[in-house]
Amino acid sequence: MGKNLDLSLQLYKKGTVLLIPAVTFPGGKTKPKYAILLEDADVLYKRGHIIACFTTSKKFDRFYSWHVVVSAKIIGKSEKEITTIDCINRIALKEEHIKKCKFLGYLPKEVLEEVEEANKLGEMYIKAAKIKIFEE
Amino acid sequence: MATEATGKTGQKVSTEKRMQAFAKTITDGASADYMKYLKQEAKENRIIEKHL
Repeated sequence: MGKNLDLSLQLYKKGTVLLIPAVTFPGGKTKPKYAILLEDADVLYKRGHIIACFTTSKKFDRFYSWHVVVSAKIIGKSEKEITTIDCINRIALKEEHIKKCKFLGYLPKEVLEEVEEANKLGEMYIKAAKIKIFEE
Repeated sequence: MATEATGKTGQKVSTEKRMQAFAKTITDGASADYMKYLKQEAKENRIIEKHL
């Protein structure tokens, strides 16, 4: 039997939108990072971390199959702005990380369905192109 | 352009269009700019994982 999950953690379902607290990067740069959980939090039982992908306001030079372009409303910005969910720009979040993030809500069902579709293609590309996403 | 492929307000992309984009990437590879961006993001992600 695994340890009991904090009940609040069970709210962290696939499609949860999180604001990661600002971290200062080398050079003194800080920037907000928004993450979408790609798995339900119960994966934490099995693996100790959960995979999330980032959204970005960056406009890419071309559309990739693992991108989902959505209204920036999902990250608390104006509905008129757009942001891109990049399903292969990934981070592994541990339980303690998740609890430090600000919960912003859930993706609408239709957006989540698109993220799932995009994520599958992203997974395939990571394998095909042998892209290293996480340190071993 | 992403906005051309998805609509400026971020409308749903059809599965067919997404598969076409996937096939194009498998054939052509991702752009050097995108890979550079992804590499930089991966570095930042490692920093976040360690310092959060």
